[in-house]
Amino acid sequence: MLFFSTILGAKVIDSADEVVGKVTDVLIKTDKERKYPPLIGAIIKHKKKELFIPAEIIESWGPGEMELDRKINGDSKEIPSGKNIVSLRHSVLDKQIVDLAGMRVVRVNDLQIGRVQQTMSLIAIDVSTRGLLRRLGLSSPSLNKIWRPHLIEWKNISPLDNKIHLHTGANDLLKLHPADIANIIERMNVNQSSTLLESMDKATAARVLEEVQPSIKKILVKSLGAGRAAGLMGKMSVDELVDIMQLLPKYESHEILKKLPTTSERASVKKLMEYDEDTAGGLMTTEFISVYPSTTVEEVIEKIKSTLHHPRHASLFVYVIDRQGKFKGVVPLKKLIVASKSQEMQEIMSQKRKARTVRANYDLLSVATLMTKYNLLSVAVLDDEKRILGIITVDDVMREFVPNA
Amino acid sequence: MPRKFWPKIVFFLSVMGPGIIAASADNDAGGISTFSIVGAHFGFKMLWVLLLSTISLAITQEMGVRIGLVTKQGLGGVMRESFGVKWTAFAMLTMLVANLCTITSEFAGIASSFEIFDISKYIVVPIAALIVWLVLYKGSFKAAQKIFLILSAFYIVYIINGFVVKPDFGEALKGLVTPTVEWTVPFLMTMIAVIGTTITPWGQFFIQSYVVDKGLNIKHYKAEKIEVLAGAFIVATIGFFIVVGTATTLLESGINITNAKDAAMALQPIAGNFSQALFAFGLFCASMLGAFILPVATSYALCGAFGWEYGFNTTWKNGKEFYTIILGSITIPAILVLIPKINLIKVMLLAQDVNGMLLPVILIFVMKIINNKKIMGEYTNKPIGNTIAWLTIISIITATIILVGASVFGIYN
Repeated sequence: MLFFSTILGAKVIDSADEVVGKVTDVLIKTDKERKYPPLIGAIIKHKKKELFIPAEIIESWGPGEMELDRKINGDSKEIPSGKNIVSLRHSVLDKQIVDLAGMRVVRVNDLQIGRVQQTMSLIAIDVSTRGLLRRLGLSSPSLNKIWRPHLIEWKNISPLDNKIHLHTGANDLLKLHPADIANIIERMNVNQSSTLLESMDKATAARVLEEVQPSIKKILVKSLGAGRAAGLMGKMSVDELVDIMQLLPKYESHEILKKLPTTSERASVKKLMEYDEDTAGGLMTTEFISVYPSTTVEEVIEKIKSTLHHPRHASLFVYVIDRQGKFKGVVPLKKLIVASKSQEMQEIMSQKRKARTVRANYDLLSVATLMTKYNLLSVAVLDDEKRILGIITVDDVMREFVPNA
Repeated sequence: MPRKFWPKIVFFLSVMGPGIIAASADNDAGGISTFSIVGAHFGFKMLWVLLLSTISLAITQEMGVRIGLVTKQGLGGVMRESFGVKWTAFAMLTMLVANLCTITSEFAGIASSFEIFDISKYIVVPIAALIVWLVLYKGSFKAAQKIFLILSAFYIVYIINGFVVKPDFGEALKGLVTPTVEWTVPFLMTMIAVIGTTITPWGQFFIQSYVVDKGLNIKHYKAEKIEVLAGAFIVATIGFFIVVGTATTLLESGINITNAKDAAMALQPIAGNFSQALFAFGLFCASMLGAFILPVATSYALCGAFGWEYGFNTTWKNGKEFYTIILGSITIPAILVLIPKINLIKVMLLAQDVNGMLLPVILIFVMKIINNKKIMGEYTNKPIGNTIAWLTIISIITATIILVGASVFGIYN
């Protein structure tokens, strides 16, 4: 196993057995096809000058000594640069990276190098304390017993430094669940996390932002600025949106409100913000499917299909209301599936008397108690005239009890 | 929208920024005892040191804020990325030693405050250590920090006391602007302790990571600058009044401070018979605040630099380094304080000396970072900041060399 720390600072010996300099850096070339990026050469210090040594003329990379297969005449060759040329010393070593497999942010202690199909390549990143001790020159068998080696394959990492390749990194990150990305984001500094959020598409970024811890969410929204934050938040469900607004100082939430993409959203957010966040009114979302008693099953199914583009639209139940908006009953999806297409809602809905509902001023605990007692996945929120204001789903309640998950 | 009372309080405390928190924690056990000794043993003679170190506190803390705002990383992280592993390890080791000494002085403060009531340190210190650990591990670090921060408003007592004793303010002001040095070991030691308790290695790490964690950016620079100045002003004011109070009461009665009871006598003019209880309470709160903040600050800095997982939402398994460092930096100092027959006041003063002597190491790193255009861009230091910071570094190093020389060649009188 060859480590970058044993190459850095190594003596460079040419074919005439003369010491020509010291290794100061190694460059790699990243490309998407190859799992392990090849080393394209080393930069050495030769007579106080930086000199690029291409990989082809390096016979042995180390450890401790780099041997070349010809003589060096000192002509300085241009140091290659470009978007996919990465300096291991300046852009990778000691930097923070995202470990996609372990889903956390770590610091690069050392790099492992090896031959892959005859080409010297970067294989893995060492994030272990062992790597740290090796760098400090304190590596010894007895100390190594305490810390396990921890290598992360290059393909499983995502550099955080925004100067390099965040786009490829972000693509890999996107394969994770939004909640897991949120956990990673909570570990980054604001600079890194807002860059990362911006590199994602808006819908994903919105779902990630929803999952981030409230305190960090607040900071993130602030650092994104009202304009960009509103763009993301337009993709969120209204109740999540309101949750964020309530975290922010008044003038900032107004700023965002003004910039929300659609007016209907703006209106419902405004309405929801009037409720205290610990009450049913504050917990609820205004996004639900409501139908009239005379609507047929077929029509309802069409309506559900038309809301599919909105992924956060809770559609486990449809709510039956009359022309005045008064709550009449609720129909679970299961019933819709087994009913015949021509049946009307009033035939298959659970009656108002039997269906449990809450008032907007109920506190969190009573909502949770009711939902637990009657095993409800969602519950309708009514005003004093029995008009339906919104619904609370079980995940909204769970979030209140386990805020940091 | 109806608002509750508590969130308002919490909000108020959350806008109170790093400058003031660091300043309050600066006046910890070591601060109270050092300033008491300064007044009781040297009168107004050392006030100029306090003034100058406050100025350089404001300068260095502002630099910490600026590095944090620009790099969005803790000091340890920036060191790691610009100086590599070896230099970072060296700086971190320096900080660790300084912090362990400071935590030792916090436990010494806790022990002294109960000593006033004749309660043995063998009971108090283990209990306090256990409480600190349990609150940090199971409870809320932030809540604890806030409670003790509020309680440290006790310092107002010193300010009032400073007026009650009717000191000679003219003389005091003269002391503030007239540099006087006695070339003796006790004087130089106390002088370095004054610097070391005002500007600390941990404070430099603390302010920077606070700025980063709060997600502040360069827009907040002006506000933070004012805050840092306010913090430095608070440190200076409290320090000044402790010195004035003790100088007027203790120096004039010729009392040498050898334990907390002696130092408490300075509060007699205002508190009468309660002075001992009041002093004990204040010393206890100040020490507890430090005992809560420092182990966490130490662990955050080390983990950030070496890439270990940190934060109280990590599990024991993932964050084993994080919790081990916290646990170690509570237990080692607690055990040190339990060594039989050590003089707790001396421990507190010595801890400040170690902090002062190690400070240049950290400050040199800070100077290297803040003058690096690659890191700071247009936000590098102005000449005035550089001059003051380098003067601080050079004076501490000079004082340390003279002190060591004086001790070795026995100019002790």
